[in-house]
Amino acid sequence: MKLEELRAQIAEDLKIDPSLLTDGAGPGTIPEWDSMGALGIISVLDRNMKDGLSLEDTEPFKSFAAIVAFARQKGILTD
Amino acid sequence: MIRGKHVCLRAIERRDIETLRRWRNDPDIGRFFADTVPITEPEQEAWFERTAASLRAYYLIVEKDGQFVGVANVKDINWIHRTGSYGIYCIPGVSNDMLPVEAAILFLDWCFDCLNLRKIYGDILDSNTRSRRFHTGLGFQEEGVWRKHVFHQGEYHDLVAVGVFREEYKEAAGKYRKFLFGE
Repeated sequence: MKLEELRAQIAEDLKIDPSLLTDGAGPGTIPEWDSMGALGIISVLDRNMKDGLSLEDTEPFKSFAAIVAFARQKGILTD
Repeated sequence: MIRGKHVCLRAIERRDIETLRRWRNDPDIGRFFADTVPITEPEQEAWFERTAASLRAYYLIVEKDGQFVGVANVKDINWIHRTGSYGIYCIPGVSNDMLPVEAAILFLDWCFDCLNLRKIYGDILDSNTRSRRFHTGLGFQEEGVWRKHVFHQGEYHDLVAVGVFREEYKEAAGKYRKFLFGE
């Protein structure tokens, strides 16, 4: 999956404009990124992983950059 | 004691009530509540005595690492209709964590599976979009609007009535259990 696709999916889940998901965006800057939003982000990542997320992977992310780093580490992102 | 991955719920004790009163009287926290009249110590004491003796209301404290971080309640329980009015609050600083969802699921599981309630309901200030989103995510339906129903911070506000049946809640919460509890 491409980075822009991941950004679009997370933005859709949070019901925000994708352009708001800059590297520094996080719970402190996006009101929709609350406890339910954090779970939505994890659900998006889970959907895009072949074997799904493990419980250890489900700590909330602090920023969009952290999500991208995680997605690269887990092979979700191909670019 | 009800244990989750990050939090646990326990019965309210007398030692908790001053913290609850302080939260309730804090303007930053009170802005989320429809009723913002300050509560005195004697009023809080009397409330605790009534609650402790009641079979129609239960308050559970949310703890994380032994720290008191929130409270969940179900009150106005009607044992014939098997309904109850519910509320949950977690202190700022944890509300962007997944902790409030975990605490709500533990509490609502307890309401449905242990108290055998059939429907949980509540009301939310129309301006509290975070709470509305939170409860929609847990399967609550917005069932109606009390128009200009409460006077809050200088103006009248709509109050959104929400409710969820056991089956609706179980389906919605089921999506999160894997991430919260590894189920």
